[in-house]
Amino acid sequence: MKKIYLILSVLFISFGCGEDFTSINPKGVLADATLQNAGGVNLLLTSTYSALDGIYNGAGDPWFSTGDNWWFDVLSDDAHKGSEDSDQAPLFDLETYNWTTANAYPLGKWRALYAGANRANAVINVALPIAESDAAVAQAMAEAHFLRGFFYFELQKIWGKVAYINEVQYASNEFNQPNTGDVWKQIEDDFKYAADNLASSSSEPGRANSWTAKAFLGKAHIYQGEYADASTQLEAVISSGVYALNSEYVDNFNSAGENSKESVFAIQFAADGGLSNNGNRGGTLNFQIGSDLGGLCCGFYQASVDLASAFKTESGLPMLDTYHDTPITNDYGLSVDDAFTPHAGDLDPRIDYTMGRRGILFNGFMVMPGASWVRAGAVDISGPFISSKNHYRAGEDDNRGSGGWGEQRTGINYNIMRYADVLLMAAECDVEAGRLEAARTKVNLIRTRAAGSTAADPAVTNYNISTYDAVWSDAAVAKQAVRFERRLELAMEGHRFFDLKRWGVLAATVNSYVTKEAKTITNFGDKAQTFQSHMVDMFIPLNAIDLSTGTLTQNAGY
Amino acid sequence: MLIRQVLVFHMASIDLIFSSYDNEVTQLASDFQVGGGFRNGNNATRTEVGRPISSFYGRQVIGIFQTQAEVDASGQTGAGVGRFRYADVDKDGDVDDDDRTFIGSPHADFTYGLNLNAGFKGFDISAFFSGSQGNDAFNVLKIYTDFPSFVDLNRSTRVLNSWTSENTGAELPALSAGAASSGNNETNSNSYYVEDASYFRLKNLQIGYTLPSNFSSKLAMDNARIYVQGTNLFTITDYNGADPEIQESGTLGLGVDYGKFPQSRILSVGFKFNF
Repeated sequence: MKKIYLILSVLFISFGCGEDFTSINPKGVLADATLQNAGGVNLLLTSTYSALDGIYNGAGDPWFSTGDNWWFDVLSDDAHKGSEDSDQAPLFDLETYNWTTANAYPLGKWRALYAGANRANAVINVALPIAESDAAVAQAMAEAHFLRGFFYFELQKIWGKVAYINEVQYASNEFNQPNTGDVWKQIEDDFKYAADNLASSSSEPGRANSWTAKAFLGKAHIYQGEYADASTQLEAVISSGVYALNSEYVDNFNSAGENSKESVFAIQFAADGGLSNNGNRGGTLNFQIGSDLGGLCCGFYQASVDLASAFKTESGLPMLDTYHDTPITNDYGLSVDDAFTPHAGDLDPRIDYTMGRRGILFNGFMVMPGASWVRAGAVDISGPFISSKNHYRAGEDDNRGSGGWGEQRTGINYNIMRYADVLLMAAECDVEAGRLEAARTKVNLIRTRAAGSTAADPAVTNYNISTYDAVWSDAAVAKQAVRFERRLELAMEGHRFFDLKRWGVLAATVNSYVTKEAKTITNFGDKAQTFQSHMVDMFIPLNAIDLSTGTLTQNAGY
Repeated sequence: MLIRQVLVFHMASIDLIFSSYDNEVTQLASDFQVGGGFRNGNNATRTEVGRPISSFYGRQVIGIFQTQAEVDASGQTGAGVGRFRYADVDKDGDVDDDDRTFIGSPHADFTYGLNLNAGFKGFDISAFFSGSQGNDAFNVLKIYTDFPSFVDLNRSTRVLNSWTSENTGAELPALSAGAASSGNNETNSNSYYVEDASYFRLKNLQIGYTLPSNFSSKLAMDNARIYVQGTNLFTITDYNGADPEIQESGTLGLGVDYGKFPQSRILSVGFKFNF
């Protein structure tokens, strides 16, 4: 008997749990070690690129977190939310400047951008130990630095005060970091690292290269008002000759021009010939309504009367100060049966690549009939114009995709940055440095391309655009002209709100816009509140503050 | 958690059961956890050490602003005449997110059940009542029925008692386009959504009659019984939601009523013959 006890004791001692019992890697889990090779790192990197469109589980509805920033145009003077006022009430609240910290839209954006930043951290974390011995891994890691810089750039430009999570904190699950101030240093470091370590051309369309990183480093400088540093980077990009303006303006918004010489960095959307998760799901609400084009949906994202009026020209040039003294002729409040004649005065031809307006050929399909294509009624705040750049174009069925409830998901790439943007940023730097003629030359390149492009509607006879031919001698006027050109060229591409913010004119411009817009859409004026000065920095989402249990602090004024 | 049965009567035909529990969170990985999410950016509950799990958390409505002077003096973001006025919980002179506080608990003081059984001659009756006392519910659907927060849906008749300069004692703030209401956090978590969800309900009632044996034996049956039964016949409650027996949505969302389909009332008739 004693012998049996002895054997049992020995067995227990031999087969008892060791210290490592709790640290055995679970089976069937994709551990970092499995991915620590060129193939694995590339998979992680692909998932980081995939976060550019803001779509991931947990960000809420796709249009909250959308990568093309369309609803930031709605907060600026360029666009209205569209549809009926009560549809997407949180966006109505944002557009009418009734901001409360529990609004779902900024929360979705916040979550998606941090998801992107952390996916970049995942790449860097896994790649770092093996990057020195594997050139492909080193390249992938540099792309991840670029992407992390980009995601934090987006966070920085929206919120001002940003919590920074680096790859070490990511790896040790230390996500709860404070937002004590700006993170420009970290953003610049990432872009610099990418600029120094990336190859000068991309191995595949859509991937960042060293020029992409330099262009974004320039953009990071210009957002800080560091025009000289910005100019250095942007001029290097320009003189590299890697990029050029497309001869046709519209090639920035169609499939023929995807990843063309003008595209510096783009979200690679794909319709995949139909049902697709790779289309632009964040822009899914932003199509005209009515049966004429096959029953698209939802009628969101409408160009403002103010933006339309900005395309008025006089002797071929923009009416910098007077464009909205009288609004552009429009059919607001008219039914399709009421007689209407489109605006008779001179217009910049880019207007009809930027928006749909009554009486004008829309995206090559047919003449826009007016109210039957616009979901917003006269009781709503959104006016008569619809969006165009994000919308399918005739004869490009390869760009048409749809989702589960029949919603539209276009395959049109969204250009986060295109060469025209680089030129116009560089022109801003020229003006700041007193190189007014250099700025004029750049602006004229943009205008020459616009003038030389095929007209959106060949039947229109009042397009009139010319270059600035008189010497620019007044820096204030030059600055105004460059900024105005930027608005026209890049309208409805998600930039305007942030441009106004970095120029320090956001609150004043928005409040003056509400007054001007109310000349046409009176109830927009009635419904919109004052844009207060603290609102230039978006509120930190309340949910994020709550989940941080006090580590994150709210921006001033909320 | 402590569960106690306070009192049990058992008589020949009456069972009465009371039960209650105390709930207190004693340890958490973080200072608190949020739950009961709604409208993609809101949370109805907060769970923190020293309090019951899933306590309701938000702004405390203390009335409706009657004059511009009150509005100007309030320091409340989104304030306006006719709009909800919230308590300045931290007493710092303004009313903002820092003034959210605990505004209710989904935990009942006690719950109870009552079983009655009685018979007289051929008749028998059994009834089961149940109830809950002292628990709150967070009625999420009021966002849609009481406020202009989604495509113009039907509203509750409660909006008839909205604030106007003539109806200053109203329960609801002034009718308005969506933004004035949501801009004042009226569609975010606040005490307007928290209601007493106490109830007393007749869960089941059955009345039967057994035919006299001399009658049933003529029909070659050992016995025959006919009964009528009703389930969920009546509920006494002040709760405005569809059903005070809230169907839970996770431990951190106890008592948060997203308006799931209420329990049906069922009436049935039965015949029971033994041969």
